[in-house]
Amino acid sequence: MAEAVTLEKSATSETSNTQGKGCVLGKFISEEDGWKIVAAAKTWVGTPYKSWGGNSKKGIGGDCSGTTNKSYIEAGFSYPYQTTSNFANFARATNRFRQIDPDKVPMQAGDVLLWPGHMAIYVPFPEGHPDRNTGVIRKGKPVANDMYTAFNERRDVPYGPYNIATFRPDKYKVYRYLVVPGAAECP
Amino acid sequence: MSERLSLRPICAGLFAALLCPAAVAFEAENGVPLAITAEIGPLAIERLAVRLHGRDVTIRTELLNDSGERQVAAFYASTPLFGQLGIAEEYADKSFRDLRVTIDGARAALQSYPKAYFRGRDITSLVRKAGVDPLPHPDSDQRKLRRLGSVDGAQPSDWRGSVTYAWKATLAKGARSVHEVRFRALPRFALEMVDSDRLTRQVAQFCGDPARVRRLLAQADPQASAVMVERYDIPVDYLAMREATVDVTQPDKNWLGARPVATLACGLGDPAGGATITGTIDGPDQVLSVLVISMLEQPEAPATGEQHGR
Repeated sequence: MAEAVTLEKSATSETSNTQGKGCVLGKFISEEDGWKIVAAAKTWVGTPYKSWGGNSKKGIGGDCSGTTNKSYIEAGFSYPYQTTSNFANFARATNRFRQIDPDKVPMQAGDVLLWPGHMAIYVPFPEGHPDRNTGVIRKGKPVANDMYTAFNERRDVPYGPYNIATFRPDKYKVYRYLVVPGAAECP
Repeated sequence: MSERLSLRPICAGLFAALLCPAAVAFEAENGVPLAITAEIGPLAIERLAVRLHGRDVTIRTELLNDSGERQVAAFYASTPLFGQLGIAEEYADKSFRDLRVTIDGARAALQSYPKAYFRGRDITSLVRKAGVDPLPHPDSDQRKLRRLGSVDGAQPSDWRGSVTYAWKATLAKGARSVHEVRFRALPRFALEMVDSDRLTRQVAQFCGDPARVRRLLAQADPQASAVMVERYDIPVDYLAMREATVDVTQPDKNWLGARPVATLACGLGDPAGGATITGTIDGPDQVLSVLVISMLEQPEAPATGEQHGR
């Protein structure tokens, strides 16, 4: 398990709410835990795109927020289903997820990537991983995949590995799950 | 574009929306309003009707030339400047190529004026010279794009574009003419939590009663935690201060695969009514805005827990 963090310590974003920042809040999930989330996400690979939100069903249909939520739950890191529109508000209000500034804290497997209207699970696929290279081409050159994502129905591409910059080059935010031990540690 | 994707051009092209009614990509995308503008001079608008069925918009305008001499009416339909969000964007084509106009029942000839801009410059002729459509599209030919060369020190692979369509009609002295404009709208859409402040705000902005709308949603599905919300903005510059009939109907299952249960528009209908609203507006607004709230589709088969092959 990773070391305990306070809100102050976990405040890697200027927009983070650091009220009560002196109290021990919890622990970011470890990289090992992050790979558990990735392993759960992998079991959704091939699921067709359906805009079903929290009703997403493995192998039958799911969207970005639904597949992310279910992957986290299956890996043992629960949170109530949130749409992408509400995810940042939920994170701020509950501190269940904390925003990570990748310039200050390295991204790790299992982090949530959040765009306006889309979310995905970050995966730094290692060399030799079967999902690292699936023939994605960017600017004429092959590129490695670095996330699991719900794609879309228009393109007839199901949930699976893909390259972030090719999928959507605009800026995204990164969120990491915080294991909250309980309110007792927060006076 | 990826090689993997290029093998699956199942829903590409003009007929995509017709063939793939439940296609959706990102969970939320901004709308792309098509602005209708008219130069009608002394011509009178006798009747104006706006119809929204599903995503299909029809604007019917009846003109009368009571000026005592021949008149020409010109109309324009313009997109905002747009770019591309990425390969999975639902609104890959924001050019409204499906726009159709009839004048007294006959198909009108449309002039098309596409423009491309990059780093503050009009690069329309440069893009055309490279053999690329000035309007950005994720399927633009990458090899041709690389031939564009440098503009202000950078290759314009991520430019902005817009297009204006124009048409005109000549009305003899005393003549009447009926113009009908049809296109498929690109509304803003987003999944919203049923209990969220965001949904409350949006319902209130469209003159709805949030409590009544939530009751309606609960009746439709008490377990629903999220709903699909579409916002249609239909700008028609001659709508302001004119009496216009408005007719909004939604199918049982819409293009997002969701089930519309509440439609809201200020000045029209019951603020917590069903999916259909009709009425007459005569306010100062040049834009008709409609909010459609739909229940998400439920999976038809039980969860298997099995992995499907790719």
